[in-house]
Amino acid sequence: MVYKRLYPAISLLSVSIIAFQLALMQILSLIQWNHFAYLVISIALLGFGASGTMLSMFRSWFIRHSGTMIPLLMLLSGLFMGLTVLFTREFLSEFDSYLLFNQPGQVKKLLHACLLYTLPFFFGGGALGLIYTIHSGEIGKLYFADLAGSGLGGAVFTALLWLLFPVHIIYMIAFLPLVSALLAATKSNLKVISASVAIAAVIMLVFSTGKKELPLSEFKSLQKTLNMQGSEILFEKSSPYGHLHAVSAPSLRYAPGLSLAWQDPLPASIALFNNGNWFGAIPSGPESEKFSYLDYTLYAMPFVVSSPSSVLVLAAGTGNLASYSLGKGSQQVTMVEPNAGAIGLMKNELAEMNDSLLYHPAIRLKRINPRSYLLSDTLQYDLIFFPEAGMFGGSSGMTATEENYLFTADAFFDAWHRMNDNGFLMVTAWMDYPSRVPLRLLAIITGTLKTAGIQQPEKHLAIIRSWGNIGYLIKKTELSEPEIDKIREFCHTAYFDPMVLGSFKIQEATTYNYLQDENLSNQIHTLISGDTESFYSGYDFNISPPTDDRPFFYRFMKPDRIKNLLNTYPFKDLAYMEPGYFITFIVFFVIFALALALIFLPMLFFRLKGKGTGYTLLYFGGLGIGFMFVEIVFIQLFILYLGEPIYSAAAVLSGILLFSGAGSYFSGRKKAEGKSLIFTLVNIILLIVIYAFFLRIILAGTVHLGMFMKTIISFCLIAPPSFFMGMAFPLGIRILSNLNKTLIPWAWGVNGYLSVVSTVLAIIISIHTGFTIVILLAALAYLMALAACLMPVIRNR
Amino acid sequence: MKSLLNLLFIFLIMTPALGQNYQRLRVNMVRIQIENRGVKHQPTLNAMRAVQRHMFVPDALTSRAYDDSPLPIGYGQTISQPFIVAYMTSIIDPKPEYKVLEIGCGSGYQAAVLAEIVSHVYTIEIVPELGQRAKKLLSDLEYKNITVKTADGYYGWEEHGPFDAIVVTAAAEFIPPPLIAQLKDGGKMIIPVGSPFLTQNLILVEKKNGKTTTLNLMPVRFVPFTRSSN
Repeated sequence: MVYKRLYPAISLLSVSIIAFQLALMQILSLIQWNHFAYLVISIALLGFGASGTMLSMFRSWFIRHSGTMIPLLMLLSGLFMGLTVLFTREFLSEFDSYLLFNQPGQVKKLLHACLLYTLPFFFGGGALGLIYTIHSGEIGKLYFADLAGSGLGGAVFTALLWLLFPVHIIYMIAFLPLVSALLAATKSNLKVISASVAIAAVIMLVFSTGKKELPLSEFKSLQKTLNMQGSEILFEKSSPYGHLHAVSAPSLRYAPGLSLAWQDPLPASIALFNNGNWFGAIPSGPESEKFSYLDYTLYAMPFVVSSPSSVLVLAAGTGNLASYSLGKGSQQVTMVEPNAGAIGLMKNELAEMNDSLLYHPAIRLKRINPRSYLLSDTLQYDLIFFPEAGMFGGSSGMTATEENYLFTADAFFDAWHRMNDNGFLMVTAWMDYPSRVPLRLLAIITGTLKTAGIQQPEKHLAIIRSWGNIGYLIKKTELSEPEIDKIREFCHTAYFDPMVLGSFKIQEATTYNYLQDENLSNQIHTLISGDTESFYSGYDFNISPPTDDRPFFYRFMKPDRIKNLLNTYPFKDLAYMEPGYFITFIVFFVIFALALALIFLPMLFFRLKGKGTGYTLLYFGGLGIGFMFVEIVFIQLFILYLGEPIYSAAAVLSGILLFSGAGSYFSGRKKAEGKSLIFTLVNIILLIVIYAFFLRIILAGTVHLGMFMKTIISFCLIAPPSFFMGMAFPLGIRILSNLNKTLIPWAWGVNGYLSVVSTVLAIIISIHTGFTIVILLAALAYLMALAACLMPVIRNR
Repeated sequence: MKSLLNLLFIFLIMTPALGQNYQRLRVNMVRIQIENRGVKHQPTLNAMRAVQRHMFVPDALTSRAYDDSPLPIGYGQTISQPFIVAYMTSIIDPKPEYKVLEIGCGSGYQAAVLAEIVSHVYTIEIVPELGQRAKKLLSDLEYKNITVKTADGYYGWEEHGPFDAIVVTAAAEFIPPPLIAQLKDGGKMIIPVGSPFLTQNLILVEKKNGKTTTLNLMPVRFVPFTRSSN
């Protein structure tokens, strides 16, 4: 019989575990890079898997001492949550993912950090696992308390982020498991547990009142700016969209790609950073002067040839292009910016500095993901600005594995339909060598023009180049001779060089900015009017247009060409060309090794008696892979639908937890027999295959609806597969316990191990083959489990 | 006492040996990493052989001072790869009478290399801690023709301009107009574009008869490595 206080104890522990997981993701995104978001999911699963292994190995001891161990494990989970910030300061101060390829010792530091971050999940998972083991008869209600806590944890954390920084949230939520420990204590050990809780609370308070700064990577834009003389953090703000810093420094100026013809001084700026990464600048000075430098950048090109009345600025950031457009006489400027935290800052604390731009009557502000806006918008514009592609110095490779739904062929095609008949689309890119970003961008543009039925794309294109960047102006109709002449004159004034001006036949040779070779010109020619497919396959880098199914604009590495590239470039050079890509593999191997050591290898100490290790591996391995592949792909697919990664992660994680929990509960009513398993797995496979082909169509057809309706539709779509996926594991365990009980730890280990590894594996496969393939592989994994069920020993049960 | 004497003996024996090792490392660095990659500018090669690079790197990285790679020096800054320093120096073709401006002093190594060749080097560092460290080190190493100041490199150093050459070691997303103004007619400015560990494209800015042009040079990390016959 479960004593009642155990239910709130479980719920509080689950609230803290989920909130801790999300806080850790935010902290690591701030001090390092976004790669660590999925690393945290793996770390959490690793902790849970390792605790399962521990319970399996010492089952009888833990059951004997459960009265003490349950509250103690809860206490330790909270204590190590509270010490996480200290660990981060001590063990990650010398770590920098940017140096992973330059200092081999960095991998060891990453390994240490992963191990330390695993501890709260290990102890928390241990407490939950022990409760389920002892009170298996009331698993349904207990599991509900767990799931309710998890769902609440996500919601509470997201809400708290508007008020507190993730570090403070960690200090706060770390006390919840201590309360759980008190609730879970029995009469006989209440005094000891109370004393232990008091000691733990004192330790946590001591460490939480000390130095709070976290070791920000020296290579992040924020840290570099803070190193400047006289720099000062003006505002700091936490939001679910990231940790914002507004920084001023007398030497901070922003004029990317400025022409060498510009002679006047540049105004100092205030810079905004989100999670330590550059977000935008707000120049100071008189409104009429501070954006005049933009006349000497590639962004001036559309205003040279037209006077656009309605302008759409996608991913508008701090609104420099919106201000510039207003200054050029545009009547209505639609700014699309999803970062609500940054918008809040610009509307309030920074309003005076940006001349109350967001209150300007001609500004139409849309707080939504730009791609989701393009999907749902019905208006048309004279000019559409896309954000800049690539990064100065070709350092965009750090983001190789981040999805980017704005730089896909589908996004540009949507934008094409939002252009007026005489409308323009403007986008710029930083140049790199060997060329990747400018070529892939052009591949998207020419692909869009060809899909729109344009036979000679060059007639709709003006491509000009400065010393460091390249600008593409696309017109819906053909560029006229007077327009071409105006661009030519502009190039002469601003020391820019035209590459395509309505045709390839440029009268003038390069006049101002000489390149190292003729490659870029030839490649542009081929992409516009040559055999593009042969070029894509022949080029050593992947520059084919990304799609919504494979939205990884900055992933240029072709695995089959790496060997070839290594003949030209040493590995270190290649790795730093696209660090994000190679870091994903390092993270995978770190997680692989840890899961092997903490989950899989200890299982080998068990003497596996009797037959069945093979089918257990097939069945529970298949479930581990399939479940995580579906979860990761769902998170990716719902980003576009719900508009933000954080909404998608919240909806998918809570939806899957809720409905798979319901499935798990329902499975108790089914007979533990082979037929039930086969029925469940066939349903899962059929649903996954249907979703692989139709989910995207359903999402595209309803993307225009309001957020409330879209949330309901999301839950309705997530429910069916999750329900059956939740049934498969407990049913399998019940059948296995009838067949061969000694194999249960083995099943637990195999499932845990493959779940951990599959999280990162899903990302690796996605960037190479796309989401559709990953979801079909999930179906294949469940098919593997089905194959195990068809073995006579199970089928006949 | 005996152990102290032993330590002293080892110290006395090792110190010249270490010095000789560094000397040999420098000679090898110039031959393998620089000459073999096509830098033939003799004053640059001599300067690279003369400047004690190991003095400019953090103590923990002294053993890697002559490696063929950039090294972190703190504050998110690096000391450039030896080849990049040599290539940037050679490309401006420095002469003994030159007055050179450097933007981004960092460790002070590039300034020291230039100071071996030209008449005077003015160098500016924006991170105060790095600027002070470089100033002290260059003074300790008795470089009397280097002047260091901690300031915003954007403005250049007007009172000492115009300059025969400008070396920008910390590239920005724009080329500051005051630097172009402080470049002599016929002068050259060299700027690396890219993060230190990434491919670095060098951009050469030339001012001739009032017209400013740029030339993207080959990415310096990708120059084919030609091993000597030895």
